[in-house]
Amino acid sequence: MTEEALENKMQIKNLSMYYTDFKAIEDVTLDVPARRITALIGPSGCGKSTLVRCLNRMNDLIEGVRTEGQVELDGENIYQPGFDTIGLRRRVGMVFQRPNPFPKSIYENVAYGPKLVGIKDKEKLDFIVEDSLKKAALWHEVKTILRESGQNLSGGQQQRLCIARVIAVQPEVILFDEPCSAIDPVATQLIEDLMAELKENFTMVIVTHNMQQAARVSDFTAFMLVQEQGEPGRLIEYGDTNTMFTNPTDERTERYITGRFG
Amino acid sequence: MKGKGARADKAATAVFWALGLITIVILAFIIIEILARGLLTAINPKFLFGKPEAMKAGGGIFPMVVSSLYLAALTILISLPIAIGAAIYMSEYAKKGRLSNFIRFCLDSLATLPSIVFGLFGLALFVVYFRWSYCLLAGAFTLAILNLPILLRSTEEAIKLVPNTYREASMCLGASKWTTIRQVVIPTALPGIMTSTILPIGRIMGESAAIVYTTGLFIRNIPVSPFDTAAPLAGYIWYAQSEALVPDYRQIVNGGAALLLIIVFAIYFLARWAGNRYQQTKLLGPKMK
Amino acid sequence: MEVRKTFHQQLEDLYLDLLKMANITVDIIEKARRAFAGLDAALAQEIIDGDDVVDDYVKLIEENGIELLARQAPVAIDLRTIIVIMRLATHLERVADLCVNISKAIKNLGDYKLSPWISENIDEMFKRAVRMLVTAVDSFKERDEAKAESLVEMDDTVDRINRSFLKSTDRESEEEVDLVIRVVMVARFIERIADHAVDIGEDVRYMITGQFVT
Repeated sequence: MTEEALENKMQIKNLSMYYTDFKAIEDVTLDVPARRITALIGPSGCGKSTLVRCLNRMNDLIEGVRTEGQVELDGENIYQPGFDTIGLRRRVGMVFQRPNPFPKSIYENVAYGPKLVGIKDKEKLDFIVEDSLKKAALWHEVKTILRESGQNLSGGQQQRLCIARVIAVQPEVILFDEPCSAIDPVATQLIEDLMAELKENFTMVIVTHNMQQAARVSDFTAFMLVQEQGEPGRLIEYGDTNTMFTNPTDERTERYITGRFG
Repeated sequence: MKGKGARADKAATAVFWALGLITIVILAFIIIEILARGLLTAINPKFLFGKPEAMKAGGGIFPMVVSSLYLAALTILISLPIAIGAAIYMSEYAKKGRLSNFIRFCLDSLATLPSIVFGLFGLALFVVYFRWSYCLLAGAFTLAILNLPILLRSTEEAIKLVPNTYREASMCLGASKWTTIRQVVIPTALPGIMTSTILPIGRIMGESAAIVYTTGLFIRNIPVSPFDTAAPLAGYIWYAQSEALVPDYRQIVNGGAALLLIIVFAIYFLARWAGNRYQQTKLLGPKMK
Repeated sequence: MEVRKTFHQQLEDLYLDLLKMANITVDIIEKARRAFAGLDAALAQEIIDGDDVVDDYVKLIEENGIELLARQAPVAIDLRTIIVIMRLATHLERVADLCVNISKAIKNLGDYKLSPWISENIDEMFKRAVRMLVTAVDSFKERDEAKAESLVEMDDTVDRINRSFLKSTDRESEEEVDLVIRVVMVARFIERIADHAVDIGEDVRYMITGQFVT
């Protein structure tokens, strides 16, 4: 097994974020290696979801949010004034906690993103839809029912549809915000398998409250924690997943992953 | 464990069940009463498609039916775009604060005004000041203003019912806010918006106070232009009853009421059917080869 | 529908690593047999030098095994398989170490002339030990409980030959004491290789049935 040199797709540098006056996360510095899966773990309210939403500036949609520090995508600060957030979100896609297909057909759900960038050619769209559904390991289950509503699918299928919908936009990074918290264990494993396959082409960041999931799917793990109530969430430890789960450096990480608190 | 609690629970269930039953009974009573008195007249083709008489018996009601439908259509045509636009602003763009609170306060005040006030306002502005005289358009504008608060509220509710995760998903696929509203929010809310227009349509059809001074009360010919004088059913029923110029006014009143009821119900079910159909077809997109 | 593809792939890799290690170990015993037969010091040195390969394998298998346990929370047959693979790796490593010990003894036997009785019996023990280890590994590969059980009986013969060496000191009294001690040691090392094969069989039976064999 040869270790190829890791290049960083995204770099979070001294990032702090405030909701109006409340400091949600403080001084997080973290690298997101290309074509690897980075997991963010920590107890509820530790700021891991907040952090991941900083990576495609989804927090901008909330009133009163303010950030300090930088997040770089391929070396370019996405928080610099005038940065194209719409273009950013095409490059950094997101899969949410609850499967949220639009109340449109399976086909229209996947074609939504490509249509936004002006792809109208039917054949081209057909190709993208098929290709994306195949990459999301859903094609064989839905190829005969593409015109049915995406919301008629099972929870796990809906989540894979949402992944296909993101893939169709051909992003470089895919963020997963607790993607399996609303679906059953078998569907969860299917999605974990899928993530392992997507690693070839995409950089992924997954927020999960399920430590075992982080252990199973990720290459790198970051542990976040709010130490005292009212304090901001901070990054406690970051390292390759194997080390984090066999021999973490920080005692707090050890206590969290062994279930001694949180 | 079968004690006081269980008995109280049973009693409460019985009371609420009875209260629910009362509403159904009242509604059924009204419907049956109106239909019993007027259904036969209403479905008589001579009455339904005939011209009204000013002084003698045997007049029909067709121009009034057309007036009502015409008026309702015009009113919705005027008020719905304004309501949707304003509702989008209120729910998607307006920041929570003084301005939006003030807008809401104004709308609520507007909603509490008696309809005769709108009628008199319409008379002063459209009929007299704009010199439109009694016509459909004057009535439609008056009713549009009258219905705007309720229409806006229900439209806003329909838009707010669109889960926020749809908006987030759309934005995350690289859609702008406006694209998200156009492509996801409005289509998703549309069945709800359509259902929410039904209530105002019922009100438009039934409104008399706001139209007696704006559209007119009696006509013999079917109105064609929006600037033609008209006589919507509700107004005409009131007119026929209070003036009693024709000997068979009772029959006309009963028949008109039954007809009004049937039309409102028909529109209600049509709107629901259309809403469901829209959801099934329009949202599901084209066939794949 | 198969799920947890990544995990099962990793488990498969771990399994293949163990089989490779097992093949190498069997080769080493075979080499030791030849080295003893010819009192070939060079070949013995080769075995001593090659021990690193086996050590690297045991390290790799243990690391990967621990990683799987820590990250994949394996259960049932998967859990037993991983644990047994890690134990087997330890046994194989010991077997390789015993071969190193044998090789050191061979080097010290230097220019002694071995009696045919010694040569034949040691060779027989080697062959039986090889057969036992191969059987043990096969029982693991094939999940064959009967094969795993048969090792106990096979071990009896090896024990018997080993014991005959202890008594041989009387019969072969003309041989030098030093030589006798070394040969007895070699026999004892081979006997312990056979014991490891029996232990492997017990682990395999645990893997198959989930019941500990005592």
